[in-house]
Amino acid sequence: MFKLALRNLWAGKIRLILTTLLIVIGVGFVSSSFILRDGLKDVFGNLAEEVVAGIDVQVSAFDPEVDPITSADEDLLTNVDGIAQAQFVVTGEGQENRIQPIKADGTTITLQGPPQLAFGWTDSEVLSIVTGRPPSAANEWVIDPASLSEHEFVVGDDYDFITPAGRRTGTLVGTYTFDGFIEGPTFMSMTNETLQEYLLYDDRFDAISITADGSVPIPELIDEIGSALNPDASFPRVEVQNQEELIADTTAEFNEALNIIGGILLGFALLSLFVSIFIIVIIFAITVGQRTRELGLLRAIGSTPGQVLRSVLTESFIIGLIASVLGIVGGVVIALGIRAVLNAAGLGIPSFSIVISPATVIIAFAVGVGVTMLAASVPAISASRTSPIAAITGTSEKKEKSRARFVFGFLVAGLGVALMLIGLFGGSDSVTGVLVPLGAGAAITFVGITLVTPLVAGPLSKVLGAPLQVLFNTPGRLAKDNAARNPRRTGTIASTLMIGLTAVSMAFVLGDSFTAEFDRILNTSVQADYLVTSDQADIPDEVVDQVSDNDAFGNVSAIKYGSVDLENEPVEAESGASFDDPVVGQNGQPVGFSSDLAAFNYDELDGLFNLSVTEGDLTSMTSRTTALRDSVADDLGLGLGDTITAFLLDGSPTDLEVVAIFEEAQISSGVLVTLDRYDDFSSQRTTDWVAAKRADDVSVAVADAAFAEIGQEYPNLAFQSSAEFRQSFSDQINFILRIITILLTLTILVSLVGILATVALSVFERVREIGLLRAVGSTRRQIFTMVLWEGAIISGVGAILGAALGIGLGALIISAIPGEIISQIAIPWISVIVMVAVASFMGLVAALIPAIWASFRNVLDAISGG
Amino acid sequence: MDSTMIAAAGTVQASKIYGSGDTEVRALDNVTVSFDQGQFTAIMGPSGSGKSTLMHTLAGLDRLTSGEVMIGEVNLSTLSEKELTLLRRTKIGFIFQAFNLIPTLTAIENITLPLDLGKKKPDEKLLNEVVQAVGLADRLKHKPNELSGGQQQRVAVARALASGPDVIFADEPTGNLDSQTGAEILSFMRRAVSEFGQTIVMVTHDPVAAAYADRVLFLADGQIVSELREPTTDLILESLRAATHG
Repeated sequence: MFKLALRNLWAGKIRLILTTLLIVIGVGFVSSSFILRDGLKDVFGNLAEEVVAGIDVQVSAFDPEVDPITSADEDLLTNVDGIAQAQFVVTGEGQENRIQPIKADGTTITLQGPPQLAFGWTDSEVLSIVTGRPPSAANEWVIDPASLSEHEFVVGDDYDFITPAGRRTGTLVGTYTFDGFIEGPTFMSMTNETLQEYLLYDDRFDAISITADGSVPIPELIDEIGSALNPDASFPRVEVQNQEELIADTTAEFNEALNIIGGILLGFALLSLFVSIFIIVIIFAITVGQRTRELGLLRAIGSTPGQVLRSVLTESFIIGLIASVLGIVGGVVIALGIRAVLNAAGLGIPSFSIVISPATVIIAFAVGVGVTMLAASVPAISASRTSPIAAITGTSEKKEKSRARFVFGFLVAGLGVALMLIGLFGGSDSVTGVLVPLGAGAAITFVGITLVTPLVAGPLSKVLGAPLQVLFNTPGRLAKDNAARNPRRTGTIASTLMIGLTAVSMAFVLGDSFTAEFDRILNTSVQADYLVTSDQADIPDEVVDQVSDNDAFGNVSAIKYGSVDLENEPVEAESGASFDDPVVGQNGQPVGFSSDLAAFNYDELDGLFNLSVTEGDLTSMTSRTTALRDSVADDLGLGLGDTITAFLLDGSPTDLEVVAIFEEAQISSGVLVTLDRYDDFSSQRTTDWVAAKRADDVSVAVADAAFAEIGQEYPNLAFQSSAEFRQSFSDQINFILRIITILLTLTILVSLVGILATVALSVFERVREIGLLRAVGSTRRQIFTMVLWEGAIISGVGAILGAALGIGLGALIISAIPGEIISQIAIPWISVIVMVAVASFMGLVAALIPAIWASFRNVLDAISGG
Repeated sequence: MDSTMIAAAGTVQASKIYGSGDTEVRALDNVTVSFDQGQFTAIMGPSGSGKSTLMHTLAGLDRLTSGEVMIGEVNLSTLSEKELTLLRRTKIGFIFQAFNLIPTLTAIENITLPLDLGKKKPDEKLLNEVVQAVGLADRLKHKPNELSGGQQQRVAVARALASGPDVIFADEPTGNLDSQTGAEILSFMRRAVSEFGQTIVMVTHDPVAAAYADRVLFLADGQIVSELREPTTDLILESLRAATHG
């Protein structure tokens, strides 16, 4: 039987090539997500180990915003024995891209690439100067040599920085490197004092790096340091870690980020694998059908059904094995390809060495062999059950149990939709509680819909093919009939394309709806002519001052966002369900209610924002008053004149009188305070937004010029008119959509291979028909047209179903998101139509090879079925 | 029948050689033959005698190694692939042993297929006559799988006739039918020749079928070895024995 399986491999060369190709793509995509992740882990893992070399113990604050490490801690350590050296360091952790050097050409380094990292210079053995000297005085800095040459900095020159403190000028005094250096990020270093000033750190340090002198064992040392720095042992302010913990911590952070990236890639990979399985099932079903005679003969001469089944399974096992090996190789190529594509799209992914872990190999083989055998076993079982006589005489075209299939399909799809609805509207608070049922529901829905698609595939093919009949006469007519002829096959293949297109069109609906919602907010709530925005709330005070002081602008307001804990409790517990309500705040105070917080310049709101005040007056806001969003006021059962008790940053309560109630939910927050008061609630010293209105007596051109002039000094901030602001938002959405589309392209390509395979196999099946058509006078061109458009119709069916499903799903998700966040569904018809057209055209391209093959078939060979 | 009639089709020193050297097979060896208009010719011979090759090359489905094939005034060897296709569409009708019809098309659509491929309107009068003659008027909207084998072959005959071709080639047209249904088809083909003046060339190895023809050609080893006019089944059997033993 093994010999027979081998012979069958050769007999079905086309099937072999196509199946292998699909498995290779599937396995390749899956393993690429692991290869990419492992490769990057390798890079960052090495980095983590090198960076902490020489540090025996590290101290860091649990809450650096509230109770950071300061130079005062130095005195507390003097009495601890066993410390050789204690370096207070500013690592710049969590401050990526906040300090940006301005290049000689006046621009900053792009934020869409790798991060820009600054940290305080220390006399550490891991750091070494390459050229020049280390930074020693204020405003001196050094950079890594790779970034120096890439961005054309020159040692000895002065460069400006954009910092949270404002614009500063620093002298580049040298280049430096460190053990475990990786190319990509921009590494800068300056003195701790300079960095603290730039980051508005005052006396804050991120960590104390301690080298032991060996006189005290490390665990004891750690205890000593802990008790010296934590006055209240039950509520420690600092964490003390040994080297291993430090490495594990650092690596865990990297790994968490990488696991997310790897997980996303794996998700897309599984989607294309899901599609591959469908296609392979179809390929095997078609070819096993062709082989029914042969299998019937085997049965007739005495093979048991088991032997027939084993022969088919052996064949698929061999294919799976070969494909898995090729798939791992393909995975390396795809991993590098994904990196190149994502980097081209603007995400900076560092180069990495190829790591093929045993896990990757095991998963690749499990997926490759498993999927192939699973896909092959379905038609193989039915083939083995075929009665010998039916098989030999070729009358095995049994009537499908179509009704049961459709009923079952509808039930499965219904179950999937129900699961999605549970996920969306089930009221689960956690993201997993929403995503898991949503994802599982979507997958089940697809399976169900795939069972049902044959029902619509026939009629839909006929509708789509109708214009072809007019356009191409008989070949068009035949293309239409051929596509509609085997609705099950057409439907299943079309549904594989449907999956990819559902995902893409759903993403488009979501993206467009968010853009439309954003437009609505801009139209109703934002009237400002100019906006300064920052990706990380990094607008220094001097920018606010420069805009306010400029005569070109009328009203100007800074906006800061944060969060606040209140002692007040919701009137009804259930109404507060949408808010986090922890029992105890960060300083041990009893929290009844938490809300987002915002601060505006209320005297100048006119012409900038419309917060839809329903009661009271915002202009009467002082440091002892507050304004509440109507929903928050309702939850707390408060009205004008009532007071809230809010906890300041240090944990102390303060009473604020409610002087206004408003409706606006997007620009504002639940609780409003004045800008002065904001500083008591948050350690954030920079501003999130600046909004400005053109002064009445100033022309648009003059105001535009004044705004642009200020903006020139701060290339890291976005200085935009409200129209540009709107545009930049839709640009961001489009960027995300582009990435999603790129990742889904592979899934779509897999389905196109499926269309190619199906059309090719259909052509083989109908070769005598093609011979007959040629004999009675079809030209090659007419045959070519016929086959080509059959592919286009199949992909058109999939594309239309996918677009419809994607729009439906997108609308469902939008309607599940609370109306406060997004209230309308926008459908990008033009994008959807273009997408359907492109996908149909791709189907045409996929059918090109079978079309050429069919049109060049020798007429006599074709008639005789060869 | 007299020899001054215009030939509907014919070959001049036609040879077809497959392979080369030791494996060389002469399927046709210097065959010169002519088929008169309005004549029903049967071609007989054992397997491998070249009868199918002769028909395929005559019908423009295959090309000769040397020599010439004429359909009416047209020399097929001068035609391009596309011209050959168009010639098949307009001047030649086909009836195959099986698989004659496109399964997705109805009977009437199959009948007008060659015309539709050329975007030509069928000659309604001719079409009506043909449909009436084959007795399919009530089954025109049926798909092939809803027709019996005999009905399917009748549709194939109707298709071959509907475009008014110069010559119809039939390859074992009754090979898959029971003798009674076969007889129906053959007598219909006979009528097409007698009443419509159609030219038919039929390959068969059934002496009973060949007896419907005006003339029987016997092939062996790629050459015409004998010929019968006004054949009967007995005469044919006799000639066949002579051809195989000669």
